[in-house]
Amino acid sequence: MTKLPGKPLTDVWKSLPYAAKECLTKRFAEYSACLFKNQLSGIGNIYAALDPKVDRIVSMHFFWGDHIHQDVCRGPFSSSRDWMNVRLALSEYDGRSMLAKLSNKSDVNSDDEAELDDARRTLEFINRLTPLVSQILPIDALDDEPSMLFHDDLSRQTFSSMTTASSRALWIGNASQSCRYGRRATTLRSWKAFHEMRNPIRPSISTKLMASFRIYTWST
Amino acid sequence: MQYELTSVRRCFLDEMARIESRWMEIFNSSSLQRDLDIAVQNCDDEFIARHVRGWIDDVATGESKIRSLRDRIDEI
Repeated sequence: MTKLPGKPLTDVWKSLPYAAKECLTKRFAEYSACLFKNQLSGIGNIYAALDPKVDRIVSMHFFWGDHIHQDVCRGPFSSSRDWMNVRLALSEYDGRSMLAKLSNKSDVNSDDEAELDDARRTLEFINRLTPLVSQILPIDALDDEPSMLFHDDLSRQTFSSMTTASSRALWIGNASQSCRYGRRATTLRSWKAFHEMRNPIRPSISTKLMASFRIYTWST
Repeated sequence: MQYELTSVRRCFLDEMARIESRWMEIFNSSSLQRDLDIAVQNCDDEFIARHVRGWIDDVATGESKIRSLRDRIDEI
């Protein structure tokens, strides 16, 4: 991977005039609209190929800790519902592992107690979220959901500003991910509810989540 | 700082509404799904646990006007 000159946006944010921030925001909206117009189907990652298609997912949640060794489906997922259920399963594994580890410990200290409380709370949340996944994302289609390219770790830290001879340019990316088609690829997310518009030729719908993370980025 | 972030956030949404209205339609109709994703992603995060719990309580009891989890977290 080539290292490009520039500084993370977070380092220059305070010194940028508001007009420049607004300009960057509009540029980013253009990119987002472009991605929205070029949709794929299913949830996972794309890999270097002449005809990129969604394949197994490699986002952080699926390999941090010892998640890489867990026997879970890694996609590509045909629905947001399946994708969320696997993420909950991975978190549940963490919670249960922590409980098992500390329950076998003879001298439990205050840090251990805190870890136990965290694990119990996590398992409680998972227990309550599982039915909500089914409720909020009901099964209503057999085909893959429409999806769009999505940067899984977008923040001001992963934006770089780069001064060129003619203008200030914007680069999005970091050491582990690319917002363009690449070997590591970008996580795709999708949402149901727009199946009636799933014709892949038509620039259409999708990714409620994309919107979510875009906005989230600007708020953190 | 927060005022500027709020402003560029509004700017982003206005621009998206202008250049890709279908994206905006989805955004406006999917708050609950986005919140669900936040809850799933952060179910083990102690720092926002009270917000996640409050949101789960409201959704599970079928509250008609549920305050967004995103909004709850942003007000920390």
